[in-house]
Amino acid sequence: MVGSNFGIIYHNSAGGAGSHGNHGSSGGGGDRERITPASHLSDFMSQLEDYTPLIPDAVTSHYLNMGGFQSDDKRIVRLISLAAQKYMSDIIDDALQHSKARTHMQTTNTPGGSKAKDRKFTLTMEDLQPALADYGINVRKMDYSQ
Amino acid sequence: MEMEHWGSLPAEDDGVQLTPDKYVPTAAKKSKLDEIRLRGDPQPDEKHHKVELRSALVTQTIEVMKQTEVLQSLIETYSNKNGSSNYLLNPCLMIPEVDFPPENAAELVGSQKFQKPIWFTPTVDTAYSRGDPQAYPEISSSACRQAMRKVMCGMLRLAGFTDCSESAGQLLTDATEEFLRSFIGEFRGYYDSQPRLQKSTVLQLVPLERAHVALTGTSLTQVHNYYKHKVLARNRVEIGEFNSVLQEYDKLMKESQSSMQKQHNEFNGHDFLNILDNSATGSSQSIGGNLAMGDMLQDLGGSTGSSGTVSSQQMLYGLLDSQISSNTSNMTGTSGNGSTGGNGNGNGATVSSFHATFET
Repeated sequence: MVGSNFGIIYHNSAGGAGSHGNHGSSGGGGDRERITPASHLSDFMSQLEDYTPLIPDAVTSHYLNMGGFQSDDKRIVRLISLAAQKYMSDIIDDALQHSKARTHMQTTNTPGGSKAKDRKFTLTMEDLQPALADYGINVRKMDYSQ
Repeated sequence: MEMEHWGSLPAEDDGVQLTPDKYVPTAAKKSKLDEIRLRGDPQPDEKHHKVELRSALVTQTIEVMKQTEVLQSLIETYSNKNGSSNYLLNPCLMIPEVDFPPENAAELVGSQKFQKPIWFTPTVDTAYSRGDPQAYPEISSSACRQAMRKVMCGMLRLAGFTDCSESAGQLLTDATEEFLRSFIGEFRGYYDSQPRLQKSTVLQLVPLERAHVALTGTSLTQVHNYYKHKVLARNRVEIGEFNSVLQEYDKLMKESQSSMQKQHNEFNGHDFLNILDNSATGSSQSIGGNLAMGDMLQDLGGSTGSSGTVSSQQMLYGLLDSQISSNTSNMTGTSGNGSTGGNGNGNGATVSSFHATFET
């Protein structure tokens, strides 16, 4: 919903702490467990203005258009970009851990290994494949590819 | 017999004739067509839009990391680590000066918005927070992939990778695209399951949250934690590390400059040349050099004055004529200064070391 608080209505109740549980959500249903995060999300959304994602908004908008959506709400477009960035960042961190473990094993096996400062980490398929598998993306590569 | 054709028109015109206001006569069309022809054939509109990757924080973090690496390599080249401090390998060698603009390491995250929890940050009424509609340009899939590839390279660099194989980079781009498609597909699936949202194209937040939970198992609010702890904190850590390495390098540079200045003050080449003429005695700058000369002469069997000056010209010439090679490792090519160089060869290590100072 453009220009509104995503249909989330705050009821003025006597108890301030209880107000979080009395929201009406646009998703419908008496799902109390979903109602609480919606209020947090609406507050969170308004703070995203300074969270500049790496993925350009035009790219996310392209994928939204392909999915049949009208991408004119900058907040949600930015939220999707950030979510994708976070997801890939987690994968890259896992790949880095794999790379460090592999480099550490190679360093301990060879006498006079390189110093910690000289170590350069290169992302290869060996590190990326297990990291992606942990996140549900299974990769099969041909025997002739590296 | 009259033949009946299946597509024939009735002979009598029973239909209502078109009135002149319902059709355009050919004569009127002609002038319009001529006008269009004069305008020329319609050319296709070419729209160029530049997709910019703008993230000041990530760009700054990567630049600061590069600067830190440059400084660390310089420190390793010109110094050696002893315990917790560095000392210069060669005090005679001047360390190059580095000039990094202070804007490179400026604090971009000074806002309290990132320091306080979200719930205590007051909302600001802007076009963004109101959700005013904004149109985005249409770009092709290939342009999307190219932009995504650059984004992945930036994220790899931010994480700490220095290189990436071609296939791994390609795979990462494909994985990002796959995630976006799955996420939006899940989002659309929620809409399709709701009868009143089936034909809706407006973005809503709650279905998005449900789609994210279904795909990743975590809430969308985790994005805030990611941004705060991974991106912002990393930026601060890198800037802090850069500042400490820069201070260390400044210290080494000042040490190098002071040692060079000290050596320059201790020895004056002009005075050394005057020693041969037995004229340099009172110069305070030449006392150190003459002291060294006097010590060497003493070692060689000569006698020196109390102030360290050379005793006699004949003794010096005698030493110069003899082929004394006390320390041949210090005798490098010293013929650059003509006669002085020639004399230098006879004086062995002392002159050659002085000569090296000349050339420096």
